[in-house]
Amino acid sequence: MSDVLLQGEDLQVHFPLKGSGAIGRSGGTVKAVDGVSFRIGRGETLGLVGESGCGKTTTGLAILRLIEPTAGRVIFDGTDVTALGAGDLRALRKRVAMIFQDPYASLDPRMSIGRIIGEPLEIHGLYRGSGRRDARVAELLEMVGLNPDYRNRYPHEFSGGQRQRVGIARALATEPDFIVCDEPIAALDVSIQAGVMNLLEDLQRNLGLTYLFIAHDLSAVQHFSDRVAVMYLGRIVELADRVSLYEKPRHPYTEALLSAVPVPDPVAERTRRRIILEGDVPSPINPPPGCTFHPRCRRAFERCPLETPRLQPVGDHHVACHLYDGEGALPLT
Amino acid sequence: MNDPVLRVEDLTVRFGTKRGVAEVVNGISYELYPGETLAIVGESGSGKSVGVLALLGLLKQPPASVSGSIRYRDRELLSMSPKEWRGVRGRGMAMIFQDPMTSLNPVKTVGFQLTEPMEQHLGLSGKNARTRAIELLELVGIPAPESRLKSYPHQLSGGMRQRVMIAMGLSCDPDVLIADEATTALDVTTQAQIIELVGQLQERIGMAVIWITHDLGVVAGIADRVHVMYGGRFMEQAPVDGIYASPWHPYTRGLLGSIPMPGSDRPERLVTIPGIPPDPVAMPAGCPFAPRCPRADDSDCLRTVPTMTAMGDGHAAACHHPHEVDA
Repeated sequence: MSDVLLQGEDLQVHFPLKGSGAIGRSGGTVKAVDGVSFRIGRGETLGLVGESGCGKTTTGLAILRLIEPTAGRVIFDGTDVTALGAGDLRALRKRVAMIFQDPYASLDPRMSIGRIIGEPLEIHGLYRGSGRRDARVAELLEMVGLNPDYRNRYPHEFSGGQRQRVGIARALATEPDFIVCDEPIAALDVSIQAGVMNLLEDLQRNLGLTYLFIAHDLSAVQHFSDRVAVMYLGRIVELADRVSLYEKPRHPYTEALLSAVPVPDPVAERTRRRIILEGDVPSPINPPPGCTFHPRCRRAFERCPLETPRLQPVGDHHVACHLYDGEGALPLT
Repeated sequence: MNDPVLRVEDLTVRFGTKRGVAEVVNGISYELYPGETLAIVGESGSGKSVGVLALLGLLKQPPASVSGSIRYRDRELLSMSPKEWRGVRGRGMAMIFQDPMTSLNPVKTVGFQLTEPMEQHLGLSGKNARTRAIELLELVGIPAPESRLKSYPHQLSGGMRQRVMIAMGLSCDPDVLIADEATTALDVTTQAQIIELVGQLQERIGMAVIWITHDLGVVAGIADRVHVMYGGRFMEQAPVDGIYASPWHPYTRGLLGSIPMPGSDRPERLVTIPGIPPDPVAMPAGCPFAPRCPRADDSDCLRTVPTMTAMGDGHAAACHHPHEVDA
């Protein structure tokens, strides 16, 4: 990957907990994102998967500084985003955008969809003059497959899939290079999901967009992404090419997660082996020592509770697991 | 084959609304045999949940009006008094709901909520009910069950709460367990745990399961037979292999084509179904899927509702122009 558009370096988001003491003593920290590094090439889609609470959404928000990272750096097209002042940050936000999960909560019910889509243009002073701005809004509506005549309608007049298209049009308004798609299809019905995914794919091809695609649905992520990063308790445990991740998962968590995804094929379902994980994801307030996955890992050994594994190259994957580093490392198959 | 434990005929549910009569379930018929898993698949608004709420007599009438026939063993449920019906719930048929946070009572302990139905339906004493509650929690894989009886729902994780719901559903040894999107709100690893658990219990006590879901992946792994529902009607019904291997109905084809297959070599373009589901207050005169159907024509599809036509091997479809079947 020669042309890196976005890079995260050891990104951390820690939230302090309010203590129960009278003078607000520290009650510990929630390590929502705990040292995440990745690169996204221009025009690429990086998928970010993991279960609820693993920190995938917080990572997306921290990249755009919608939540301030507590440590680490985000470098967007050569600029250190984490070091920008308010004015420069606003200028940068022209070039990045976000599509949110819930198309009901992320659109202001009292604004017409024309105003919703035009608002980013207003904020950044683009397409000045009402004629030019209206033409741009109409163009955006057309791009996402909505009738431009609908611009004076309000969000409640649209179905979930149509609202998500409005959210996409708003994200595209300032001609961004990079879009964080946070569970863009999770709230939609199956038959509607496919349409939104196809639209995002077409837009990427036509506009040269770069995506971070955040989702809990592994099948959707694999369909949509070039490479996929798997998160568990605030850390990336494995990062690999989409096909390779599915065919040869290295990390025991990736393996279990993949085996739990139901496949719409009864014959395959009857024959495949499923790894059932015991228990629940531990609390990020007090995560297990060493590798945070070790209490649920069927391949854990002495070293796992003692030392935190680093994400490092294993074949053509990046894996954070002691099985693959140091003495007694597993031979790659 | 055994006699069916449940026989539903021409079940119809309508709701009076300000805008007119909503036709939510429009004459569905099916049978459920002991020990089997029947999946009812559909998108939001297809009527799949209302259809099973009617089985348990959980729809308030009015505004709902329920007609047709629901025979549980040899008894007609729709002519039962509310008191008789209460005797069927819990022991005969039990339900696991989608969202355990809103369907458990937040101000009562897990222990209270588990023992209450057993005292009501089985007439167990408080002490015996408590013993059985501990057994049930153990059965569904909750660690330290005795201390969990004192917990409130908010003190449990989503997976744990769903396990408590399942324990409640199983508490009176039902013949029929209805799971309404029981794993939809859960992460995939927890979903796998719950599916495995229900399967094991089904094998052990031989209950029949109706699994309501929109997730065709889940269905492939658990169902014996599948009914595909749209606009309050069944579009297609078949043994699980038949639905996936040779879907006849254009809607079933569309649904299957719209889900990404994990691990496919190259991303293929997904099939999309244009348009949105019909408004139950203004149902189309003909096939409910006709306005979105690539194969619909003006003469039959928009005018007459297709009847469910058997096409061999327990496979049937309600369509004027079904896809050709590869013989």
